[in-house]
Amino acid sequence: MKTYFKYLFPIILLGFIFPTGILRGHSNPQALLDSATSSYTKGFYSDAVVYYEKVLSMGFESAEVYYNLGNAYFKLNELAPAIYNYEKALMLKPGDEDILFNLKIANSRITDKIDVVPEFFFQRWWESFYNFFPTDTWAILSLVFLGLFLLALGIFLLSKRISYRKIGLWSAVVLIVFASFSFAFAWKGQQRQSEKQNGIIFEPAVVVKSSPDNASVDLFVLHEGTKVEIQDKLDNWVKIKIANGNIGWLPASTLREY
Amino acid sequence: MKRIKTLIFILSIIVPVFSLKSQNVEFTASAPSAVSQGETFQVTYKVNAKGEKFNGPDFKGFDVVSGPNVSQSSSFQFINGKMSQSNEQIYTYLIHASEVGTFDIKPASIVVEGKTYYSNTLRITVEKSSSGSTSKSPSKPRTTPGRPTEPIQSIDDLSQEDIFVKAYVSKSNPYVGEQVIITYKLYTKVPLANIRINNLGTFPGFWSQDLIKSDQLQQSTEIINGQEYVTAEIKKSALFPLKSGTFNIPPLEMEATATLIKQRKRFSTGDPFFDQFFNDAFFNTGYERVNKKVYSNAITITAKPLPTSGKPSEFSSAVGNFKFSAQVDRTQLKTNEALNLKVTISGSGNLDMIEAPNIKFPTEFDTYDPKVNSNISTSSSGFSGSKTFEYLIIPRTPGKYTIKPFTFSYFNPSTGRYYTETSPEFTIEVLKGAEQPAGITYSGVNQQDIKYIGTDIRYIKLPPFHLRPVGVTFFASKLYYGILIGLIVLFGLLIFGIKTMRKRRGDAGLMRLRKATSVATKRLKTAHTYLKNQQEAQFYNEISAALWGYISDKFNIPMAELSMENVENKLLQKNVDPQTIKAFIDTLNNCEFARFAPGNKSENMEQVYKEALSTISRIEQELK
Repeated sequence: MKTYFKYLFPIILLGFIFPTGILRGHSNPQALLDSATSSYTKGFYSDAVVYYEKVLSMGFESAEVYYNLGNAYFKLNELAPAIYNYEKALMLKPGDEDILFNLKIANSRITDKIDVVPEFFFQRWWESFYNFFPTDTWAILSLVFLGLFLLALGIFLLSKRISYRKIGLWSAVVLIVFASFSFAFAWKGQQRQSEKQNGIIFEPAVVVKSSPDNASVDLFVLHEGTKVEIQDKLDNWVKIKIANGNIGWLPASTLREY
Repeated sequence: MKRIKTLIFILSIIVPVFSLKSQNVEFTASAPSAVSQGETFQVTYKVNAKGEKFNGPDFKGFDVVSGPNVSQSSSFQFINGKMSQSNEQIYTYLIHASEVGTFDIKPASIVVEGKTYYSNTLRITVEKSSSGSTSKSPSKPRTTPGRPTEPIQSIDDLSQEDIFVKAYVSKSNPYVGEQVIITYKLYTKVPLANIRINNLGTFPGFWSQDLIKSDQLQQSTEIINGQEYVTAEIKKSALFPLKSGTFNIPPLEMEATATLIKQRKRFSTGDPFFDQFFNDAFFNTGYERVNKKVYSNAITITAKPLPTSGKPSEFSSAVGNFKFSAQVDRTQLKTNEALNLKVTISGSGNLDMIEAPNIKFPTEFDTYDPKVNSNISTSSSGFSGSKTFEYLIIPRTPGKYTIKPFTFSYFNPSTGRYYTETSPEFTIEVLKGAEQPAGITYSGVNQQDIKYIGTDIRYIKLPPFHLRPVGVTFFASKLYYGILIGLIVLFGLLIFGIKTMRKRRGDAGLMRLRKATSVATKRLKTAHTYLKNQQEAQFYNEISAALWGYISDKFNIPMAELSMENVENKLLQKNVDPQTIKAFIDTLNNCEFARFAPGNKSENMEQVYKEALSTISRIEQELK
């Protein structure tokens, strides 16, 4: 019996360490981040943008890099890339207070003011639950809960005393619920990151069409920095939905998906 | 029939309306056919309808002084029940003939109700400037009617060279906001009794300020082309262009009354005496007042925009050459006392347009709008002087405060550069005032709401933070699923392993022990059914089998070794309570006895069943 545990614990431990421990060795991107920070502090925002973009182009990302890059763009008064990067940061770290604050300020400076259709209450709850931890944390949590569930199940199955068996059974039921919820949250976050479901308008002004055709009826005009939900794609056109529920088609080149 | 009547009725209403509209459009031009060089005259275009898009000719060979000036009139007339409407539009140009020759003025065009009409062509002959050109003016009070005299010649020899007004500017290509001085100078060879400026020159696109008053004319003499002129500046203004572009300043119109010496030709009455009498010097010379309209030349000023390169962000509108200073009257005071900050801007330029500098006072200071004092002198050299802004400041809370340096930016047109001057930083020490201002009582702590002065995004997150490859998440990784599946498989193996180990340890007794109770319970249940059916033999058999089997299983004693005689010893060996053993043996005995003894068997059956149950549960409890 002891031999089983010998292997089990290192594997569980590995799960905790993985997202933080890896990539520590790369000193070059970290040096770039330091130069970016000092450029930003001195007010050379365009230099900071270059450094952060370089880090991203090297194939690394983090919520902080996107957030800082968004800040630099904001200081240069380029609202569309600023909002785009804030949204990217929020995706990696949902519910981060600083990111939400700056995104709100940036959104208050763009041309389009859209009245958001309020969400249903349990959808709001679900969102706030989901936003509580980053995706990776949810993934780790799902494994931890699964491990604890199996432990409780083991107690239930193997114990001779009825009181232990009772405790084991109930905690197993609770833990499997926890495990499946955290799995669902992790899955949702993963889906959001891999499927590009949103976009930010990058053109100063674009006309939203009624169908994916230049000759079709003009529906409304959107301006730089406005967030849209991407619902469908056809050739070089995307079907978009804005926060107040209006739907139309846009050329894909006018927005940047994330 | 009725329909036709209605139609006729409608037509009778409509037709007059149409006839009213379709009148003949006449578009005529009129001008004097001959003028003398240097004369200014009117060209009039008249149209007897409502026209639009008037397009005037280019007046080749002439200078347009002003125009087209539009005047409109319309009238309705009812004569004998017939209505007639007449519209009239008159476009007037003021033209200056500068060259000698004969000129054709091309037709002007106008659009009336969608149709374009052209006026007649005008032919104007400009003669060489000669005497008597102004005699054409009918307004001249020169001729005395009813006096049959010969034409008077010499008095009206007022040519353009005798009286004229010259307008000139100090700079025709200034920057926006730069001071330009426009001067109207009157030149005259003849003595003037009176001058009257008819239209005070307007300066569209400029902010203007008169520099001299018209009742204090300073005379001087100037010699032009060998001729001596008396000159006077009749109007002088400082102009500041408000925006960039080309601006036309219309000419100044002035009426001058000249005092001329009148010289008549000799009378010839045929009577030598009378001739002698009238040709006497006393009669022969006289003074006469002659009015003459004089126009100055028009002036074009092209204002250029201020350069954008090097424009300081604080620059507002100051253009000129300025000095800037700022001072406070004291640096140490008590709360609720007043402090004065005085900002002085002096120099020449558009002082009037300078705004108060933007000073950021500490929020604990009560400040009021600055008192603006301008001390601007308008000499003939232009605008100069100083402007002061006095800020009254009352600190409300003690402490040490600094008024951050503020700046004043101006553009110097003579060097073409922007200058920014910065005030010193003022440190003000505010001590606690001895007494609170009367009428205010404070209760408890003087709390204030936090004042939010500005909004900005939050600062960047500082490194180190952890980077990871783009798009890679732990959830989607193979490792995650590896751990997930690994956990489940491990768990299965673990459970399976433990179970097999327990079995292999051969703890069959343990299993038996488990089984004992359930087997006994089953037997007792069957016995209970027999009890209900009053099947005595089967009942006792079952009870006996249940008890014996229970003992055998529970204490791991093979059935064959068990008998009524040795059961007590065996149970004692297993450390069973003697009382329990006794109860057990009693139950067994009762059972055996009841099987074969007569009596109320059904009553016994009930009792035996209860005893068997209690005995088994007693042993169960003891073994726990």
